[in-house]
Amino acid sequence: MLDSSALRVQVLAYGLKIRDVMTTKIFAVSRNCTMGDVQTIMKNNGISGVPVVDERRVVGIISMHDILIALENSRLQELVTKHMTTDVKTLSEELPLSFAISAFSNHPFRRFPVVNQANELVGIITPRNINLALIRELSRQLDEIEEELAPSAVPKANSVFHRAYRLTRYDFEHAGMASAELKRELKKRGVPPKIIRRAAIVSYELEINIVAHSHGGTLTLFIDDHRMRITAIDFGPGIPDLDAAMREGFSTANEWIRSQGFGAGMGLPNAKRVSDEFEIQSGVEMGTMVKAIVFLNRNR
Amino acid sequence: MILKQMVDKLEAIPVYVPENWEEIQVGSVFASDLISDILVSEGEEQLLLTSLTTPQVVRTAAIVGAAAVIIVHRKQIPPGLAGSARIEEIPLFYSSTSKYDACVRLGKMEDAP
Amino acid sequence: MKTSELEKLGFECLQNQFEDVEIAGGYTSDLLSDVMANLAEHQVLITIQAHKNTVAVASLADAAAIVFCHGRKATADVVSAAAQEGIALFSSPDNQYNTTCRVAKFLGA
Repeated sequence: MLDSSALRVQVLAYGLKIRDVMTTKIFAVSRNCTMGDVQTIMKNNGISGVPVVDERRVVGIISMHDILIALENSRLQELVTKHMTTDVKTLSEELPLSFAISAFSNHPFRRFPVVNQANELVGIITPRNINLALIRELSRQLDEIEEELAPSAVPKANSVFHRAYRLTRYDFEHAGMASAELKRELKKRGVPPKIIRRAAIVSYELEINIVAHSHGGTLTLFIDDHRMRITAIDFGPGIPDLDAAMREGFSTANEWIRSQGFGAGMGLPNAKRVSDEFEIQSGVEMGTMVKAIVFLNRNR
Repeated sequence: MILKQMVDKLEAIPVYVPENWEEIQVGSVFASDLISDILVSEGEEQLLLTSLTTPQVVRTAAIVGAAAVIIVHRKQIPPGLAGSARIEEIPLFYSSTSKYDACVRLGKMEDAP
Repeated sequence: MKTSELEKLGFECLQNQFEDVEIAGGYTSDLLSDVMANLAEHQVLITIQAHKNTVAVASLADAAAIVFCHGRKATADVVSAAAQEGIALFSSPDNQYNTTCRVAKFLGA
């Protein structure tokens, strides 16, 4: 799982560390608290998992599920130490965000306690933290792009084209707009039709993929003299089996999507086929990130 | 093959055509009701036969650089499609012939010397 | 022309438990609702949808066979559904247009 983390760090997580994303408002309990105490904390704060600490070291964790079991067996008055999961996986705050993303894909847990170098509890990370951080980071980038574009309203020929598009779930009416703009831009730059076609196909497949299969996301186009780079990011639900998704004929599409002419399970493999470089990362319940490059002066 | 002759063969009705469309040449025919399938097609100057009537079909045709689209097996098509075709500059027609029969008729045309 | 003779067109037979009926024409479509409305008895369905629902729809119409285009193969669940319904499955290496033309020519259209 670590082999691809470098790319994740670089692109998906934008160099963010777990520390930048985690929540530091921690609700933890000590060994001498009861299950009833934990239940009250969960109820009052709207949280579903509480670490048990001893001198700031995490020694266990109580989930909502543990509370329900205790409640069923009328054991809420018992100490947390009798009920907690002691095999707790923690994440170090120094790690890149990509580690947290893989941890969520590889484990069924909905939250991880975050610890510092002294192994003391300093935060909690959930998929929601990650989503929010990525959305924040994306809008920050969008602002930057807009600032970049602002000074010269009319971009010079063959200057850098950099634009981001927001994509909404099931909005088949507008899906494809980014690709249409991409096509016009490449045409204006005198890129050979065969290369335009490949670039437009990658972009279109990725647009449709977000609209048909995700909760929504963004597509960012970057064009300079040498390459067209697309970064497609969505906010979930993520792809449980990437190998299967990259196989032709695999699709999770429903009949409605099929009736729109999509969902033949060809999108991702096709996008990869026509790209010169293609990278995909996905975390279940977090989202999927695809980076594709088509070189503009290199025929196949 | 000449688009005009193919259109006539299918008794297709124009929805949007550019000027001088009668001169458009078709390199090959591609039939599909799946956008994803159209996107993997390899042919040049394709005539696309489809029974899809969503704006996406026109957009997809533009992306793969199709020569024209004939929507088959339809007695009418949604009014918005003409606008999509104009924006994408894709000649668009519709015909009540089924896709099977449309393929057969065009296939015979291709076979004819 | 009988269903079994489709193999002569260079189609690969993927499922051979079927009644060898006289083929009554063809229908080419990838939209299951369209297939459901228009596919007729003992016809050959030509499609890219190598999908279990395709078999269900073809069986409703009492179709003779399904030909998948682009060399698409059927997964085991599709094959077993077709065997159960007695629908022949073939895979054509060609695209939908060329496959349709070949089937039609073979049927003497």
